[in-house]
This record gives sequence, structure tokens and C-alpha cells, in this order.
Amino acid sequence: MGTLKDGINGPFRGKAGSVIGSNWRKINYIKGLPRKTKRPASTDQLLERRKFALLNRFFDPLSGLLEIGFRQFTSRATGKNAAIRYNYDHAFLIDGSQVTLDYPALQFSHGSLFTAGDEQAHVDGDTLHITWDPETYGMGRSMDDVARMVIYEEIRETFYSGGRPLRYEGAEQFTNELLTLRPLKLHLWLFFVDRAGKQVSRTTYIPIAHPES
Amino acid sequence: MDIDFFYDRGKPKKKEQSYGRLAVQQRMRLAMAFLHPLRPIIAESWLNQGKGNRSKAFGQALKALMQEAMEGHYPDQRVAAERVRISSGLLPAIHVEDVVCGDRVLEVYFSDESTPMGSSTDEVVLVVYSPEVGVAGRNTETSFRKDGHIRLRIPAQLQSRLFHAYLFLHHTKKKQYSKSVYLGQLEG
Repeated sequence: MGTLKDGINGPFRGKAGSVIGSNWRKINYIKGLPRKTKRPASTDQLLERRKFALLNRFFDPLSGLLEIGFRQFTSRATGKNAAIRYNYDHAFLIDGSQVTLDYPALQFSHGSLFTAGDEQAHVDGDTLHITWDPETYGMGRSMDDVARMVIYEEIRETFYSGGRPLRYEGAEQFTNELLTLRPLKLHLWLFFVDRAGKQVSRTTYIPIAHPES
Repeated sequence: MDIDFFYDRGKPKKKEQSYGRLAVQQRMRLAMAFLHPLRPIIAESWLNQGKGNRSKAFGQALKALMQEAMEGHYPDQRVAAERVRISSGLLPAIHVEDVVCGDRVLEVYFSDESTPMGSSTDEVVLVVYSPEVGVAGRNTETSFRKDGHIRLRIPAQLQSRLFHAYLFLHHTKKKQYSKSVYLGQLEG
């Protein structure tokens, strides 16, 4: 049964007739009861559902990181919510009814900190070498910004996170047996977070040069 | 009774906005997008106009850009970078003699007429900025009005790209600033 919290016009929680009141992140919601439909979904609906499921599943293991990357948008949504909203319009490659993720277009963060520039990565044996420009150029960056990186192996659908080097270090190495396996389809993204954890940069996709794919 | 007569799902609920409103919204969006990456500089260089408040300073710079540096008509409005002032004040500017853009290095040679308002120890600030990339950089070594020369290392992201360059001066204690001088669109 619904209960009125702040008087007759206030928000309520629970069921009242055909509507349900609820509250999430200090937002009061009022929802209608779900209705079942026997009508089959249209092609467009199915495509949207596939897109949503694909992105949702991809971001699932990264929710902690997305809370950092999209922190400025998380007062009334989770980091993953914000990431899905931000990426949904440009994160897909659509070929007829086939939907795949456009990995270089994905963003794990959004903010006003500047990216490093000159980012490069290559695999050597079981080590992935990542480098970037460590200079600060007087504005929009700090020496002690923390680099956050996401490594994804597409064939095995596995995520790895690198260390947390500082911007001035300009390099990081990631060692894993996985890198010796073939075939290997690696994706790497890098963004920076300031020391206070309040400001972030946009995400840079770094193409990886490796001996054989 | 046909309920669609009262409520048509296909009909957009929002009223179409007027031309004037859309034009102002676009101007605001373009101005914000142009100035936002320069916030750390503008917060200081427009501080006098913002009466000591960094956020008001940005507001004043935004207002000046919208009034003086927008061209074209909606929907083809754009920011004229050469008319943007990234700094504002009464400090006398300098006369730019030469701009040399080399391998990731930008050098500017300038001369100065001595005036009672300007001091030889006024610091010169050189800024490079690409609104398309959203990245800017400024000189990291201090240069003074008396030096006649300033050098800046161009950020990696601006390599082989077009960028805008601006120059301005400020008093050593950062209490007075000059109007910025646009040096042109260069390639890194």
C-alpha cells in the first residue's frame, strides 16, 4: 500500500492502485504497472535491444572504473548509466541486423583534463609496453595525474587493468601470459584522473602494434 | 470518440522553438565549447573583469566572445578565433615582429615601446589552442617584456594540426593584464 511521505502532495513509496511510487538516488519515481504485450517486437526494437544489451554487458565488469570516469554525472545516475548514455549514439558498427561495438569510439570517461598525446603501445613477448607524452605544457594537466588504463582481449572477452602510474612517468608495462597466446585481439584505452579524483580527461584509444594477430 | 483527436502520440509534445532562441542557443554552445578548455587561463586573465570571482571572470569572457567574435547566421554560425580575447585589461600590449613555427616549437619575437603603464618585468604568456582537438598549451619557461622573445613547446596532440596562437602580458603579481594578441592559425 502506498504511503504519503511529505503530506498529501508529497512523494510516496509502494503501490497505490495502478501506480507504484519509489525513490532512487533522491529521485522520487512514480511508475505504472507493467503491461504484457503479445505483439512481436519490430526490427528496430530488436536492434535497439541488441545494442543496449551489448553495451550493458560490455560495461558490466567496469562499473567501478566508470564511477570514476563519469563521476561528474553520477549525482542522479550510476557511472555505468552515464557511460551508456554517453556512448550509445556512437559506439556501434551496424551492418544490417549485425551489431558490434566500435572499440576505438568507446569512452570510459569525460572531463576537462587534457589527454597526454603521443600515446603508443606495443607487445613484446609477454609484456605490453605503453607510453605517452609526460609533459604538462603549462595548463590542463598535472605531473601527478593518475593514468587509468583498460585492456580488453576481444576473442577471450577478458578485461585487464594496468597499474596506476603518474602522468610524469610517461610509461607503463603490463605483463601477462595472455599476451603470448595467438590469435590475440587487444584493445587499450587510457585516461587520466587528477590527484583529488575530481577531474578526468577524455579517453584515448591506443592502437596496439603486436607481432602477429 | 477518437482519443487521438486530443492526444496524438506521433505529435511532438515540445513546441518548435523560435529562430532567435535557436540562434542564441547555438551561439552559447559554440562559445562554451571554444572557451571551456581555456578555463585555467581565463579564470586568471579575466579576473579583474570578474571582480575577483573566477566563475564571473569566465562569464565575462563568454559574454565578450558572444558579442564580438561570432559570425554567420543560424544554423551556420561560427567562432572567429581572430576576434576572441583570451585576456583583457589595460596593460599595454607588445608589437609582434615575427612568429616562427618549427618542429613542435613555436617562437615569437616582439618589440616594445616603453610606456609608463608597462614594466619591463611584465610576464609574457604564449598560448596555443586547437578547439577541434580540445587541447591547449602555454609557455612553461617565464619570459619578460624586456626579453623580446618567447618560446613554447607545442603539445603532442597539436603536431601536424592547425591551431590558434595568442599572446598576452600580465604584471608580475598578476594584478593587471593586457588584451590578448592573435598571432594567427599555424600548423604544428
